[in-house]
Amino acid sequence: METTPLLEIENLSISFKTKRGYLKAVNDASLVIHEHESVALIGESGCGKTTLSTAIVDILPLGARVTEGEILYKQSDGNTVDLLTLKKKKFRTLLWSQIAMMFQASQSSFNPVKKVRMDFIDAAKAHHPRMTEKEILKKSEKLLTLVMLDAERVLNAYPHELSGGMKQRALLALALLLEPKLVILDEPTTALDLLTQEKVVALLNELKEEFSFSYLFVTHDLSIVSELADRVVTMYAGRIIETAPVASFFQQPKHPYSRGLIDAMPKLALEQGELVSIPGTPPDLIEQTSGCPFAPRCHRKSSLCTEQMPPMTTSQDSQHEYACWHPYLGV
Amino acid sequence: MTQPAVFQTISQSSKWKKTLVQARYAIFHDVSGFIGFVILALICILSVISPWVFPVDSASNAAAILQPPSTEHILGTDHLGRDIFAQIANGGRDLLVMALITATLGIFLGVILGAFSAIIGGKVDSLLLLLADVWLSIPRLPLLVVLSAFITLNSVTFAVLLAILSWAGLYRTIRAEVLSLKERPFIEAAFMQDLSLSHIVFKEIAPNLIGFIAINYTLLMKATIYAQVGLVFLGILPLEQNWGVMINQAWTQGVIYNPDSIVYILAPTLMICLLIVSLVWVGKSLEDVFHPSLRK
Amino acid sequence: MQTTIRFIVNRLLKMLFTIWLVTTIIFFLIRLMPSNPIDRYIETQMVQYGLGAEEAKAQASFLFSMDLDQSLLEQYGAYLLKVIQLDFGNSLLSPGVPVMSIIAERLPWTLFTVGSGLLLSFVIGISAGALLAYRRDRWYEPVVSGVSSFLSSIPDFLIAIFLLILFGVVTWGGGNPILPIDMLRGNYSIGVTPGWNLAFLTDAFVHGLLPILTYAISQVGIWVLLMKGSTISTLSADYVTLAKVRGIKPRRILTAYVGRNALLPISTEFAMRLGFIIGGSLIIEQLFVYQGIGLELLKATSGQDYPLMQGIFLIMTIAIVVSSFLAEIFYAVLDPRIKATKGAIT
Repeated sequence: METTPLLEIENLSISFKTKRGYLKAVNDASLVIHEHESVALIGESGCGKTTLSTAIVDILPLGARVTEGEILYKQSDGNTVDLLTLKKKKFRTLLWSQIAMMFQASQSSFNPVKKVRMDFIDAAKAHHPRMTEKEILKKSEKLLTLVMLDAERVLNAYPHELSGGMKQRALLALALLLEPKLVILDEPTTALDLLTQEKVVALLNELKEEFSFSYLFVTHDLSIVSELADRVVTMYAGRIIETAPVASFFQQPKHPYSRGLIDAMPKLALEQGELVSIPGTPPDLIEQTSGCPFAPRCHRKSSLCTEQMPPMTTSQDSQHEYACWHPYLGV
Repeated sequence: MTQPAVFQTISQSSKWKKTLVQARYAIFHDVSGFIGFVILALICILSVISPWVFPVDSASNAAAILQPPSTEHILGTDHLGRDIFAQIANGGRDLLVMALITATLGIFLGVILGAFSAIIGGKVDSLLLLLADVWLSIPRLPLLVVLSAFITLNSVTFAVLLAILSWAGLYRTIRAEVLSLKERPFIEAAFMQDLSLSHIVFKEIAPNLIGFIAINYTLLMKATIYAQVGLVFLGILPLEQNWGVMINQAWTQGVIYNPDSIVYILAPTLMICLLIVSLVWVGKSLEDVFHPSLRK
Repeated sequence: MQTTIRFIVNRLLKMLFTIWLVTTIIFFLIRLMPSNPIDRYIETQMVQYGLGAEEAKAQASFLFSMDLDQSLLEQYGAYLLKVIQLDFGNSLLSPGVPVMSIIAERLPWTLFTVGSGLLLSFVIGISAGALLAYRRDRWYEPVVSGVSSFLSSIPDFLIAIFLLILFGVVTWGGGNPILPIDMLRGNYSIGVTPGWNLAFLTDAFVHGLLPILTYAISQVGIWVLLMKGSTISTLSADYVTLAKVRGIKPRRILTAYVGRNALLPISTEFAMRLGFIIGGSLIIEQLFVYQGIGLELLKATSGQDYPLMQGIFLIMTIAIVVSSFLAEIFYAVLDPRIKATKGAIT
């Protein structure tokens, strides 16, 4: 796949100020999203994946701060800017028109006291002040129909009158309103039942074909990763520990943690394999050791692991990148 | 190797130990709570010891009217030449005792009605709720004033009356609390196990209400002191020995407009402030202990 | 639309029920309590002035404007009918003056001071609370919150005493206190003609200044704390974050997303506070000798002017009930969710 990078995160570190000291939620993370590419960011809860994705759109919670690194974004006009140092006003023009985001659960993403149409109108007016309400509503209706909703009804409804699945799809339509280049999805399916999940996943795939934008989606549900992602990025304890194309990620994970995640995934009908969970719990992010954060839970660890953090290494077929002293190589 | 049990229910752990730990936490976990407890304790101690240590000399002394603070009278004297400090030292006792009576009665009434209403549910519940809503929109202080024209009030009848009048607010909060407790898994489990109603109420629900009751206790005491001092100031409650009476005296005697005897009016006013603020802070501190989710 | 109507009707019924209940309580107190004022009045007339039973009864009937020859139920009916017409009979202390005209004269002053104080505290408290929520990490946040919590717990009449001393008693080194407090009794100075002229308006304002300040200071802390809490929880709501991510301007987010949603739960508190302040106005007006409805109620009580007393008490209750009704309607109009969930119950 010969494509240009759309978003490059380089050596990003984010710290939370807590009572016990600074908590490094994201630690020296680097990540690339190419144009028309769908990247999945996976890991256990608390590994920093949501923090990382919220940093891109500058909605870090109070007390969190980017301590180093840059987030380079290639604008539609071809210029590349660092989102972290960009002026607020300039940054606002990029939001939603080029980078859109959908939250975890997304059940309360619409203003509860206004009709859904206002959320569409507000979003469009913020970027195209001269667009008339009629034009905005026409476009919204088209998109809502595309996500299989009764456009008329949804636009004139209050959020509490819509079901969870409807809100999710309406939000997708809202995300596509300004034809963004990158859509960030935080746990897009967790709050939905299995059937609706299936529908949303199918829809996401269709929309990607139709509008050709990039996805970054954050999830701990590996089953939707296999259906949606082109590339998988694994995070553990604030660090990115493996990056791989989706097929070889599932077939030959290099990092013991990635392998652990895949083994912990329930498989249907394939084999009678036992469901294996990873022993232990993620480490305390405040008192960090110099070694690999996964070492205490890893069955392949050596004394080297507890002493030194392994560097990012590229595999021989140059498909995988991993940070491990003792990766699973070969078969 | 024996693993300690991961989950320990309230009844399993030692109740006394838990209470002690909670009390220590309530007192020491934040500054305002600590100050509140200290002020309240000081006022209580002062109220208990002052009849012996700082007795009130009620005889008037025409030679020493409205004196400024001196070594003999550290807060000066009032319009009848009586020592103000002795009055201050003794002025909190009645307020505290009345507040305790009202709060105890009021809580008792609120818990019974609230728990009853929440557990029974149905029409009785909605009727009580409607009545409480209506009751809450009747202004309390004017009602007391109007009632005073029909009933001769003394401190004790007043305390009882106030407790009865306060039923609605407490009823509502306690009902809501019991309702939410009813939804909690361990109570649902108790119902499913077909445990007797009395077991559920006294062994499962009541222990979980204690924190809630403690918080409302301080709030009700605060409200009682407000009403009591207010009515004493208006001259509706009989004049006894408390800070409200001192304010009333200072006001009716016109002393309040005398720039030289500011201490006379300021001292009881500050004491009431301290008492009420300490109650509020203690209540807040208790709230942190029993509802940690509300913190921050 | 149907839910809206049902909601309004529901609240209207509740309001009428409250007023009816209070009226009935008053009737009970005046007519049915052992040693109620009417029986007592008849007794005194008979014992002290040697009137016959019939004569005394007729006088009592006239005075309390109740036909005591009717059955109790008929009396109750007639009483309710009069109350509906806002006819509370004549004052006993100033014979011949209808209670309603006394109320009409006094009530505006209380509404003026209580209303301005409440409004002032609301505007200041809401802005400060919202600001604090945005500036949670600044050094002054705990300071302002602490002061607010302190102010909100002190009884309003103690604040009034402090203000009285600060402005009207202490001379601050100069010859006179800041305000000539003994000139400020009453609602306006003698010699100023009431009307829409500047002299009267300023004079009325200066006379009302300390009561207004008292109400404002005693309420402002509550608004700050409530608004801060409400705004903080709104700020962390998904729809606000998503509004930011959509690149909507901060000012638009503040008004259409944060402000409105944060204000909603507070608007019902407004009516509850009003009831509380009106109660407190008894003491405040007594302290500043301000001729409002509260002071009038105290006078009526100490002078055993029962018709005036019940009239004022009922008007106070109606004022509170009506304003809480309006607040709920306001809330329901602003929040589409409330009608659906609260329309049916109670």
